[in-house]
Amino acid sequence: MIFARTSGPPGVEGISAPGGALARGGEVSAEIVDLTWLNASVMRLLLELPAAIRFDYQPGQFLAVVPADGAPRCFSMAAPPSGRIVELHVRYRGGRGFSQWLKEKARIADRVAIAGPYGDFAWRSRGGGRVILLATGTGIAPISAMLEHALAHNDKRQGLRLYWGGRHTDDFYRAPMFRRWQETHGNFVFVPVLSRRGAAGAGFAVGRVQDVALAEASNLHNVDVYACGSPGMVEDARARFLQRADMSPSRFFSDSFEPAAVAEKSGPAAPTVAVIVKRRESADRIEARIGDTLLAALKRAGFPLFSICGGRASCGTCKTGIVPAWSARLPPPSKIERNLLACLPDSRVDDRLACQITLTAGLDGLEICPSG
Amino acid sequence: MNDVIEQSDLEKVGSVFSKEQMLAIRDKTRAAIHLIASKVKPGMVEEDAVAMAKDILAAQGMLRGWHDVYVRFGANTTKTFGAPSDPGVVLGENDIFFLDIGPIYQQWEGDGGDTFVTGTDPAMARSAEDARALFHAVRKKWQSEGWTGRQLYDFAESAARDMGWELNLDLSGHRISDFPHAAIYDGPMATVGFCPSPLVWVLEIHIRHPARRFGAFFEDMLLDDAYFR
Repeated sequence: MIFARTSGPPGVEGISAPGGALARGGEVSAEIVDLTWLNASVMRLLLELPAAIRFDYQPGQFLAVVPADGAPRCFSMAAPPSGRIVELHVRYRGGRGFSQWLKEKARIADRVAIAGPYGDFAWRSRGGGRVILLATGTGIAPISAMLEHALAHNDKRQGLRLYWGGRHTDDFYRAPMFRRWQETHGNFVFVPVLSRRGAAGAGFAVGRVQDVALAEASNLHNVDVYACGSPGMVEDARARFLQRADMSPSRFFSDSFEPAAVAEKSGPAAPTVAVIVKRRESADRIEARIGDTLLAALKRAGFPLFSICGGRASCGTCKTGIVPAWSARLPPPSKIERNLLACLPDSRVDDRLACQITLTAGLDGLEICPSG
Repeated sequence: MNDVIEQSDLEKVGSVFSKEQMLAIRDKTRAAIHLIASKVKPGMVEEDAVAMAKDILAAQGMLRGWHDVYVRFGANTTKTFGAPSDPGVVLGENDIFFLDIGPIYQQWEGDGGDTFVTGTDPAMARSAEDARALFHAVRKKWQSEGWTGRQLYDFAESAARDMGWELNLDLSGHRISDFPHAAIYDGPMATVGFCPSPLVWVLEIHIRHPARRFGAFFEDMLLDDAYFR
């Protein structure tokens, strides 16, 4: 079946969808039934699946919007399974990607191709003990889905404490809902955390979510921790919680979203390509998600690359050497990238900014030399 | 005692830090701001002004920045650091714009901002002047009273209100150093409980009109009066 539209996300026209149940890795066409701004930068997207499709997922998992050009965008479901409707939170990022298409062109009844569900971030707590949930930004989406599930189904004596971090009071677009839950569920506490002092009023903690949570947690025995949001928060939270002798490593669950300018959302299960990272006497092979930037792929694989500016082609700290045979196969650098490379110290002819290279199927086997 | 320990930690510098180089990049930053501003004209689209600013910085060996280049037009002057501008905003004949650049020259970080008006709107003109005036009022409290970062921004918030503006405390000062300061301390000055040292911090003032959709911004290195004559 071919879906024909007069408008659609870049590269999504002409999707062929399977009938019957949505197979893992398969794609189906879903209809936009609601598109609402939750604040100045986050949209709530409601998709309706075809009646014949069953989309069984665990709260916490994500799906991929799959453009035909091989650059999937992944979004966590923001609510537990509920019939044919799937709720996503999409941060507007400008540029020419999916969020720009949603903002500028998408209309109710337009269709998008999706695949999934993916990911192993899901509710693991079985009652008893306490649960700490940490989120930043739209990392609240899977956390919210898990919370809604837990409040409906789990032990009412199980303490649930949500810390949601944001930069501005407007970032807490789901605060009214969480406050309602707090009023109706005696075992749930919501703590909004502003990263900077600013317009903080009563009811806001100030600092980093993991710091605030740790300061309030005198005892981590029998505690499950869920963290979702920026890689910096997730990685730091993991390190700092696990430093505590009373915290069990097997009870820390997390999912990282990529920084704003790097990718819409990360996840482990999208199509991948190989990237060969060469050193003088050895080479590492990493599996990288199609659609990710090279920077995101290297960071996920554990390479200690700096990215001071957040992937905006400003700081040059992600400069990476490309093996000459591969240089010509990459899209040429933009004027900004070219100019920036020209003003970096020790820049070589085959250097590129890892934040500006989007991995596509045609780059399978890409060879790089991070040290130049 | 904690503040003393904290200050020495948060004010560390890298191996190539030098007073002369920090002052040199400060001068280059201020000069670039005024050069870019002189070429911003009514009728320009904001995105084109950003591209032009990057061309100018590139020509001066300062395209590399520890943060992106911001040229904000009109209602986008209310946007906080890092927030995407509304696209396609054209600078009007009677309008306001500001610049915020954070160039790296060789190995030293600059950071500065200033606000400019294109017409005769008295409130816009006053906001640009007040952002600078408030910057210096806060800076003088730092110089004369030795106040902490928290005290300085408490004062800034109150003074801005007295002037009829809302202060955006998301932009509340930060470290600067030989690149990258972010590896030392990436937090705001407004939360530190000690008196910041000269040369290694920038003071930021971003004020917004309480009713209209514009704001003004001024940012420069935290230095005493001798550097502002």
